[in-house]
Parts: sequence; structure tokens; C-alpha cells
Amino acid sequence: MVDSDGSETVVVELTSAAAKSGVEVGMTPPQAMARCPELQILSRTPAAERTLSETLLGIACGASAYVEATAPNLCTLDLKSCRLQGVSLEMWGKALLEKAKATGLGIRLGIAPNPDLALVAAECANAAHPVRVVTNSPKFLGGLSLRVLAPPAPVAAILQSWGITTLGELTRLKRDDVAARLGPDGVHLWDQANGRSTRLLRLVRSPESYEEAFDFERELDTAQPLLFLLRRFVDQLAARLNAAGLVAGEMRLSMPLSDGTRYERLFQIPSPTAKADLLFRILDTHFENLRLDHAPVGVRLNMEPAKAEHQQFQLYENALRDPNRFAETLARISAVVGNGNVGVPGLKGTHKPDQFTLTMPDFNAPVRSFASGKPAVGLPLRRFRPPLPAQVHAVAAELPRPRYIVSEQAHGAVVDALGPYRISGDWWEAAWSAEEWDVQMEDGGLYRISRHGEAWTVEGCYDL
Amino acid sequence: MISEFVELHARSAFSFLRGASCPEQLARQAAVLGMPALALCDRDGVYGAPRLFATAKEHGLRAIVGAELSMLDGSVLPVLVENRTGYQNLCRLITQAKLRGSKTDAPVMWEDLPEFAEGLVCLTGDEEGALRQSLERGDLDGAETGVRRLRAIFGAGNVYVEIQRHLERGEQWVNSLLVQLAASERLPLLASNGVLYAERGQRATLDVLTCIRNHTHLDVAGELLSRNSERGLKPARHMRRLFADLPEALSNTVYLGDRLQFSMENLGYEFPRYPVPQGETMDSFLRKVTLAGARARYTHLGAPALAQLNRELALIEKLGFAGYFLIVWDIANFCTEHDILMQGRGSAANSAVCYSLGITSCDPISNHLLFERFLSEGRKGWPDIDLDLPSGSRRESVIQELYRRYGRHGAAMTANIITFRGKSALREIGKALNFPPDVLNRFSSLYASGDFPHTLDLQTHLQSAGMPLEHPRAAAFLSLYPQLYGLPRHLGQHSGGMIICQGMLDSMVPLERASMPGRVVAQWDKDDCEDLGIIKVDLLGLGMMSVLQESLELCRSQGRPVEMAAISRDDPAVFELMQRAETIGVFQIESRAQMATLPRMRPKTFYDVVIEVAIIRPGPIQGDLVHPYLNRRAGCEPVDYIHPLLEPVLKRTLGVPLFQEQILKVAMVIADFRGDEAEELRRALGFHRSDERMRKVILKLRAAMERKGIGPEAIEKVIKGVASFALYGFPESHAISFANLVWTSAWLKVHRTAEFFTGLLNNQPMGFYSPATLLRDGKRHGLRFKPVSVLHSQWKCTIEEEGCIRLGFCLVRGLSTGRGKRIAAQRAEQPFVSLHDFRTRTQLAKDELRVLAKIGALNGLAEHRRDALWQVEEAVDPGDLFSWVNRNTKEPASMDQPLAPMSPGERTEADYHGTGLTVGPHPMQLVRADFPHLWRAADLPEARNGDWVAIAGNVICRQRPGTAKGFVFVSVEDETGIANAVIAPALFEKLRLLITQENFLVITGRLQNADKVIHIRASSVERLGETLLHGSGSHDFH
Repeated sequence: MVDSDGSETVVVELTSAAAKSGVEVGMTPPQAMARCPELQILSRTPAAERTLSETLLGIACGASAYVEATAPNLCTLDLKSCRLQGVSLEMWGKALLEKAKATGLGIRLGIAPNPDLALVAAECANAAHPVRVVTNSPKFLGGLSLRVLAPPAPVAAILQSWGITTLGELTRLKRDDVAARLGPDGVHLWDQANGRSTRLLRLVRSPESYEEAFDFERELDTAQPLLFLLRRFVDQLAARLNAAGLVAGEMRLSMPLSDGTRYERLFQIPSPTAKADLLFRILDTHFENLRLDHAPVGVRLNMEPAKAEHQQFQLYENALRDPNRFAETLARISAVVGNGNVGVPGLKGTHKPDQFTLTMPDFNAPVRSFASGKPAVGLPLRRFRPPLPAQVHAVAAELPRPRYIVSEQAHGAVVDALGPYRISGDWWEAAWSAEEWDVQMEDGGLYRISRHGEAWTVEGCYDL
Repeated sequence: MISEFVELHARSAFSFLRGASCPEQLARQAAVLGMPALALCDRDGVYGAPRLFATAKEHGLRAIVGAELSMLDGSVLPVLVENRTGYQNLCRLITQAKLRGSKTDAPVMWEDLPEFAEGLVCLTGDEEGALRQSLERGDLDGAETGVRRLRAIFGAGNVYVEIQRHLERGEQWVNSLLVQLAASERLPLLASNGVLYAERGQRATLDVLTCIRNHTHLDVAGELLSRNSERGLKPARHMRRLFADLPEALSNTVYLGDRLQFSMENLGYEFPRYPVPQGETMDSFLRKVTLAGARARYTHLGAPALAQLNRELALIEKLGFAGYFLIVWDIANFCTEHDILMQGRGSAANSAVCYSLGITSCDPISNHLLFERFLSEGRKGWPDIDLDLPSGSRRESVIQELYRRYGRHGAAMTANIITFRGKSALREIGKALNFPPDVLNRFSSLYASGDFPHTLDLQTHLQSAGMPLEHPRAAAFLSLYPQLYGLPRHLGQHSGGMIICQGMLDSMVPLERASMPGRVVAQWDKDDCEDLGIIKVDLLGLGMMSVLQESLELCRSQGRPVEMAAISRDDPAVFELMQRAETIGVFQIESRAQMATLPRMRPKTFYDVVIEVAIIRPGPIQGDLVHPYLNRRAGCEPVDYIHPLLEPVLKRTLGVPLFQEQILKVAMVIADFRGDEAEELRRALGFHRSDERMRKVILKLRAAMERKGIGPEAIEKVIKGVASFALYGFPESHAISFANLVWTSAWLKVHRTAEFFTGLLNNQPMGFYSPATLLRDGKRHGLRFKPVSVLHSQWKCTIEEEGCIRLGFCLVRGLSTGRGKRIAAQRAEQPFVSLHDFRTRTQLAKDELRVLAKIGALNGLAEHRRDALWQVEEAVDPGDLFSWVNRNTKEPASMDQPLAPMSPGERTEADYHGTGLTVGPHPMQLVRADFPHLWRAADLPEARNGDWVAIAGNVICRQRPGTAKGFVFVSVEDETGIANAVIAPALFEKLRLLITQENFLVITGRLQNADKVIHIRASSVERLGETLLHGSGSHDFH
């Protein structure tokens, strides 16, 4: 796995097979590939690493009430409060390993009398011995490489220049000498290398889950029982949120279907709330128009907690009084016109015609002026979406001028034509080009027509 | 037919990322379209004007000069030059803005314009013009005011309302306002197409350039990109159709085009006049100083020399070049007075006047050099005198002296136009196409040498970087590269070319700031300046000149002074050194190709060295001249002079035309060319920009030979010999000048070895080999090297005793010059008695102390390196009242220091890490016992030709010359010397990364020993062992 250190991309992690081929941490990809031509090079994916860290933290919190999120992908647990019920530490660790394995996570575990020693033990665990229990720390630590303690880079560089490569070599130096030369970082490292360092864990609380789920005995035929169940879920979750002084920022609905697939839907709550009625109405509106090809066999509802926001309306502001109601209205419109077809239109930054985006309105954003540098000139165009196919007869010339149009909307002789206006773009991937004309028909109608190669279309008509 | 349209507003790629065609392309296309003239208005400069002018002239087109001026308010104002006053005003206006502003932002102020408006005609501009911007904002009053301001500045007849039609929606509205405004203000309309490229197909290139300029990519560039492809040059009939309703807008282009009669043919350039003593003219004074110099240089100034001098002086007088020679002489004098080693190179060495003036150091008379190569009667332009100077501060002092003498507006460096090419161009295209960064990184870094055009085609390269050819953007990537290749990217400065002028240089060409502080650069490169008759003096920095200067100074300080001019050219020991190819560090003949030729060439005379310098070059190699010469020299093939007439010309080179002078002479003898015609032939051959020009002179040569009745076989041989020089011609005089440096450096290596190697080490980086290799070579030549030590070293390497060099602080990585010198200065005041004392007095940073400790430079103050490393980490209290006790007391050997000394391997690693070299054992020596099967470099002569051997060592050089058909030459160094291997293209492609990335290699193959030149023809290449060995860097791909 490679990562950039700001100036250069270098290897940061590698498999044992890669290491056997001579690949080392810190090599550039070409250097690494020179050692191992078959090398697979991967880039770091921070999002995936975050997810793994969260999963690990969840497992840790399930195993102990006292957990420290020591570093990304690293948790320290205080086992004093755990009831091991006669099980050996190693067996307990293996059980935890199995639990992690069930979530798809491979972990290494170190168990020791203090947190730093446990960390070293975990570093020394490997695939063959994934649980490392340390009781005799001097014996265990002495031969270990300094790297297991991941010393800060400047300290590591100095120790390397001193020829100190193992924890045993470090501890053979006097603690005071180390302190005089390497400062607090060195002392901490020395203590860790001795297995004597003690510290209090910086505990994290397990993230409270606001989730309810139910598996049906049989497939559901109608939405009624589902809505009944969801109402109950919403009431319970809203009550819990209220009790914690929180509100729901979003709701995630998940339903396993009879064909083995899963229906998922995320509801953003425009104005986070813990009011059960409001929350349920969002779901109810959604189910009004929901058609599924396969029946649900279960349901799971998760609410993402957020802190309640309170705002006082000002005299001249246009923020919505009830954003949730507005969102509900939009959802209803969306149900009619289809998802992705609702929002505030905005022009896309391209020369390609009729390119726009729809964005959900943000009523909390400051009011913007719509006045642009260029004054709007010309007549408004009503676009036909999609454009209407047309047959256009043009006078053969270097720039053929349209003379007669046959189409669903515009039909007849062209009295006058302005153009052509040439546009083209995206030549680097999906090239397009068009030649547009503004034409006036016998009946006085003004249309925009467009030629794409040999094909003509009527793009729209102008308001007169 | 009278044209109906002249394009008066075109931008070329010399608008730097704002235009997609070279001026030459624009001129050619304009000629194809039948335009009588074309105006080039590049942004804030006349960068492309000389090229437009030259190409236009070839195609019967009239080049009109103009420029788009970036104004302070963000608008752009196009102006066109009507006459010479206008041109000079434009140059001075741009110079004023450029020297006032920063390198990237130097707008013209509106209030600057009135002073420089005479002789200029202005257009109201395109979408970036102030007028159109006002109209598009709906600010009609502002538009009127703006137009009136222009009329007030430039005069009523010198402002044209520019109107463009690009078939874009919305432009009618603005254009109708422009027409109304022109009518109401009684200003003429002028049609233009606001050209940004020659042909519509180049629109994609423009879009990519736009992305590069805006630091964005095509997916998000949106409306920054072109709306369509209508900004190319358009023929009159297209423009007539577009402006059918405004015929006067078209006819005005013809009218204005006729009015703008300024030509770049004669810029009115004058070389500075040399201030001669009362009663002298420049000619008489030149004669006086030349003859005085000649009497000093020629021990017997005989009739032939006098005749030659008189002939040269007469021609110089006739051509009016006396001032030029005097000024160069003056520069030479400045160098002498300031103890700066200087030597003229190039064709100036063909002149006895230059030799007499002390500008050059080889006597053209005794060397039978052809003066016409330097100067001839019909020759256009100025002669070329290049001066080699020691690189670094000495050369800079000469450059600054010229600025001082001629002023900020009177002297400038010539430009070096940086163009899109190679890896960086491909990377920029990739970025514009929004290729993922990891693909771009891999693309760039996988083949760090950037040599892919030789063997790896672009498609394969792209695939190797992880981009399949089926990728939707791969086709665009592949097609864009040739379009972008060679287009100007930005303006740099030439390494040494300076132009100076009598009066104001900024009236000839706009000047601007260079990136380097204190430097001013002209907007034209040296070829442009030469084409327009502006004389340049090349002040070239040569690392070897620095080495020689320093070595000669060391010789003096060591009590063994040597005068460069007095060194014998007939020294058997020097020839033996060359014959043994022990030429590491010697100027020019240290490359692997040179070293492989030396044992075959076996130089026995100074002229052999001249040939050696000239023959191992791409031209003779590509022209297959090397082997015929060597074979004839060895008596293996008969000497062929092509034609009996040519025997006197080619005798010295055994019938092989090696030098440009010979080409000239061949043309004069066998085709009866005059001196200037022969020089024209030579220039056409060396003029890399025009195949057409070369084709024409070859035809002329052929016709002349046919007229003279030369046989067809001889004609073909002559043509082949001449053509092979097209790109890489080499003047004999230049070869002699370089051979002087070769000889001097080789002589120093033999007779003043310590001084020479000290000079080499003190002037790194330079030459072909790393300091580590130089040091090992020095050892092989009997020198001893002592490591860097705070108790003994100076900033530079020094000679401590006979044959013993003390390495200086200049080799220590991470130690600044100031700190290094401070150590030496403090020690000179009072020796350091302890590490504490050293630290207190030098106040070095921790990092500097660490590196000194690591390389053993503190060993005199500590038990060993690790002891020093242990001690330097301890804090020193600057306020310690008792520190004087420590300062004056040598510390007892620290009994309680707990660290073990470094092992030999660790010491080697630390040395390479800290200084790039080691005076200790070579890394190979440390692992030799593990590889008993490997041959040592020194043992290879004992192997038989064809033996199967394996060599290994630190890779010090990887070369893949364009002339070697894909073969790669790798040199590996071990503790005994250097072994060479040749890797076939197929094996290289297979193991490309291994060969290019690994520092230590094992190469196995058959040994080839031809004329004592030994190399291994590799059949396998592996990395050496599992452990990471530390060695010096490699000098790759030259």
C-alpha cells in the first residue's frame, strides 16, 4: 500500500510476501516494483479505514465498559471489570477474535498488565498467534525491535544513529541519560521499553444506537402492518432521543426483501426533530407511493442522533417556518414526477445547451442576489424536453439555411432564419457538436432548431 | 488578385498558454489562405515576431507586428505597429511595465500609454477588451468614455472598433452595439477573427492550454473552454460571408494592413561603440591592439601571420565589426584583471585577430584553420564569439559587469524558450484530462529517465502506467501530445547568451525580469536575435574552467606553479594516460564512449586529441564516420578522399569529413562555392528549424558539383557526408579549443594529481562522475584522502601534504556554507579543545552536529562516531557560568559513554549518507567474501574473450544514447575499479525497473575484449544480495 508523504509516494504497508521479495517501507513504487515486478500496488482509502476503526471500536465496546480509542485501528480495553468466568485470558481473547471475524475484521490482540505493554504485545501478535498474553515483561520486551513502539520520527532517527535497534538495547541506557538527550518522548519510550509505563485510559463511550428492527414470520402483503410497526419504532426511538436531549438528523430505512435483496432509503430530516408525528409522516408519505417488486420480510429503522438546533426567526428573513413540512411536500411531488426531478434548477457551467442541475433548496443559506454581470437579452425560450425530431429542408450552400420545417410543433416555410450558431465540446471523451438556428415561421412562430450531423430537432419556441 | 481581408489580430503560442499555434504555423496557413499580410498580437510581448517575420518572408507574406497589452483594469488592449517609432514605443512600453511589475503580473497603466502612443494603432479588442466588456455589462456610457479615451491617446485615425463573429449566440447583440458606437463616434470598423490557432483542429490544444493556465481540468473547466472551433485563420471568402452586411469592416483590414508598413528587416540595431583614445578610430585602435597582442603571442611574427592578420583586419573594417572585437577584447581584459580564467570557443578560434587579442587560445595559423568559418564578406549577421568562463560566481561577476556598463535597459540575457516536451508535457496533458494522480505519478516515476521516445512508444507507456488503451480518454491523450509538443510553455533565460546595444536595447526588443535576481532577459532567444542581426556574446559557464582555475591556483600555493599556456603539448605521460583510458575527471574524454574509443585511437599527438573530441559525438556516430576513421587509422582499410580534389582538405582526417571547416572547404573546392555560400551551406545544415532550407542548399551543392563534372559516386558521397552534419556539426576550431582543456586537465591529472582532484571535488556537481567515483579514481592514482574533520577541514577540500587531500565541509550534506566557514574561522582563532568547546563556539544546530558526528568529523573530540552522536544530543546551556572551564579543558575519554562504535558497514553507510562518498572501504569490499564467484573489475583483463563472467558493483552510470539503437550501457564500480556492461534492448525492457532503480547489480554475460576495451554483454541482471547496500548515485541516461 502506498501513500504520499507530501512530496513523494512511498510504500507504507506491505504483505510478508512483498517483504520477502525485498520490498521495504519507504520505497517508491518503481523501486518496489524493481524488487517485485508482480507487486500489486494499492492506495490508501481513508473512508474504508475509518469504517474499520469504527467497527473495531464497536467490538471493543461490546467486550469491555472501559475502552480507549488509542489510535486509528487501535483500541485499548481495561479488562479489570470483565467477568472472565474462569476462562483463561487467551481463550477470552480468542473468543473476541471470533467475534471480530464474524464482522469480517481480522484483529491482533495483546493482553498485558499495562496499556503500553498490551500495545506491544498486540504488535507482536501475528497470524499464527493472534492473541499474545504477556506476563514476564522483561523477557518479552528485551529482544523486540524498537519499531513495535512506533517512536516519534525524530527520536527514532536518533536511536537509529546510536545503533539502538531493540527495546533491550534502549533499556540498557540509563533513564536519566536518555532523558537528558531525548526529553520526555525518550523517557516515555524508555518506560514503555521497560514495560513499566502506566497511564490512565482516555475512555470513550460506546456510541448509543438508535435502531429498531423486526423480522416478519411471513412475507407482508400490504403496507398496513409495516406502517403499524414503523409507528411503534418511531415512537420508541423518538422517546429515547427526547430522553437524551437529542433529535433525529436522518433516518435510515432498511427492508430485506423476499428475493434476498434489500431495500434501503435514507431520509434527511430538513429540520432535525424528535417529534414522532413528524418523523412518522415522512415515512408514511414515502410508503404512499412505494411499489416493491418483492415483499419485505423484515424492517430496520435507524435514527442518526443530532443536537437540537434552536433558532429565532428574524423580521426580514425568508427561512421556512416548517422545513419538514416543506420536505414532505417535496416528497409528494417527487412521488409524482420521479426522484431526481425536483429541486431548484441551476445552469451547469458548460457550453452544452440545456444542461442544468437540480438542487434541494437551502433555506438557511444567506440570500443571494441573482443579478449577474451580463444583462439578460432576447426572448425567453421554452424548451421541448426532449427536443422534437424534425425534417428541415435547407438551401444547399456552404452554410445551408433552413427553408422549410416539418415537425410536430413547427411546420411550414421558414420566413427568416438567424444563424448558424455553432457549439461543440467534450472532444476528449464524448464529443458533441451542434449547429443552431433561430427561425421564424409563416405563422409568426419563433423556434430554435438544431442540427446534429444530418439530424435536425426543434429545441424550443420563443415567447413573443 | 487583391485580397479582401487581412487578419490583424492573431495570437500565437508565444502568448504562453493563450494560443495554440506557433507563429510559423500561422504564417504558413495565412499564406495558404492567400492573405497578403498577417498581424501577430501576442500577449504582452513580441516574443513570436521574429519567427513570424522569417516564415512570412519565406512565403511571400508580410508580417505585421503588434501586441495585446494587459491593462491594469484587467482589460486587454491590442495595438499594431505602424512604423519604427511605433515599434520602439511598443518595446519600451512593454519593458517599462515588465520591469515595474512582477514576473507574473506586470500590467500597463492607462496613463503610460500617451507617452508611447506614437506610431501605434489600437483596436478596441475582443471579449477581453475594455469596450466589449463595458457593452456586455450594459454600460454604454462607460463604452463611449473608453472609446473617447483611446481616441485621445492614439489619435482619431488610429483607433479601430474591432468586430468579431465566431458563430456564437449573443454576439449579434454586442456587435450591433459596436456598430452603433462606431457610427456615433465616427470610428472605422475593423473585422477580425481574433485568431487563437491556425487551423480549427487545434482547438483541443487550446482547451488543454486553457486548463493548464487555469490550473484545472477539462471536466470542470466548463465555460472557460472554447464554445466552438471558430477561432482559426479564415480565408477572405469566409470572412466576406460573415461580414456581408459590413463590407467596410473587411475593406478596412486591407487599408490598415497597407498602412502598417513597419518591417523587422532593419530594427536600427547598433552594437555599442568602444570608447577609443583621442585621435584613434575603432578600426585603427583595433589594428594597434591586435598587432601588439600578436607580437606578444607569436614568438616570430612572420609574413604569413601578418598577412592573415591584415586580411582579417581589412575584412573586419569593411564589415564595420571593429567595435565588436574591441568590446569582446575588453571583456577578456576584465577577466584577466580580475583573475578569471577565460577562453574563447567556437568559430572565433578560427581568427588570428581573436588569438592576438587574447580572446582565444589556439593559433589558427599554425593549425591551418579556415577564417571563413568565422567571418566572410558576404556573410549576414555578426560573427559569433563565445567565451568559456568558470561557472559560478566568477562568471556571474562578468555578467553583472556588463549590466553595470550598459545599464538595465542596455543589456539583457537572451531568452530560452521552454517548450512542451517529454514527461512534463505528458503529465500536464494527463492532468488536463483529469487522469487519476496515481496514474500520473506512475507514468512519471516508472520511467524516471524520460527516455521513452527511444524504445517505449507512448501507447505502451500509457498502458504500463495503468491506463488501458480502451480508456475513453486514451485516444485524446495520444493525439494531444504531438500537437502540444514543441509549443512554448514559458520564457526562461539562456545560460550565458547576452545581448548589448548602443543606446537603448529596450527599443529593439522588450525586456523583462528574469527569475534570477538582478538579471534582465530579452523576449527573444539567441536564434531570433541572430536572425534579426542583434549580436550576442555567449558567456558560458564551464565547470572544468573552474576546476582548472582552482587547480592552477593550488599549484601556485603549493609552490609548483604552472602556466596553462606553457604546458607542453607533447608529453608522453599524458598520452599514456589517454591510451590507457584512465580519463575519469578529464574534460570531455571521460565519458564511457570516449573511454571506449581511446584505447583504439591511441592518441599520440595533440591533433589526435582534437579528433577524439570531435569524433565521439552524435553526428559522426550517426553518420557512421567513427569506424571508418579508426579502421583507416589502424591501417585496416584504405584511405578514401572521395575525390582527388579533396585530398588536401580531408588529409588530416584520413578522408573522413569530421569538421565544419572541412564541409566549407569541400563546398569551396568541389562545388566552387564562395566563402559566404559555403557558410550559408553550413548554417543551413545547422539550422535545425528548417528542413526546407537544408534541402535547398543540398540541391544547390549537387547542381554545382554536377556543373563541375564531378562523378555521381563522388557526389553521393559528398552529399552523404554533408548531410550527416545536419544536426551536430562541430567546428574544428571549437574542437581545438576543447582539446586545449582536455589536454590541460589530463596534464594536471598526471603531473599535479592532488591539485587536480582537489579542484574537481571542490567544484561539484560537474562532469560525468560522482565525487565518490572521483575519489576512488584519485586513490588509484596514488592519492590519499582524509575524512572531513572539524579539527582540520576547511570549507573546501585542501591539500594537507604531498599526495594527501583533506576533504572539506563543502561535501557535507546539510551543512551550510556559512556554518562550514564559521567552524574553520573559529578553529583558526583558537583550536577546539573539546566537543563542548566546539559546540559553544560554533553554535551549530543539532542536525548539523548530528551529521558531523555521523560522518566522523567530530572524532578528534570524541572517542568514536557514536560517542560524538551521544554527546551532541546533550543540551548545552549557553548561560552556563562555568562553561569556560569545559572550553579550556580537554574532556577525558568519556568512560561512561554507553554506545558501541559503528561497524565498518555502518560507517560506510553513514559516510555515503552524510557526504555521498567514503574514504573507507568500498561497499563491495565489505561483502566481497559473500560472493566469491564474482569477478573484480581489476581482474577482468585476465579473462579471455568470450568467457562467461559475472560482475557486480555500485551502478555509477546508466546510458542509453539515441545513437545506440536501444542498447544500454551500464558501469558498475567495485573496490578495484569500474566494469562496463552492455545490455541488449530486449533484456533492458524486461528488467527495466531493476536496472534503473537498483543501486547495486550483478551482471552476468560473456566478456568481450577488443583492443583492450572490455565489456560484458549481459545475459542476466540481478540485484546484489538481500541486504541494502549504500553507495553513490548514478549518472543516468546522457
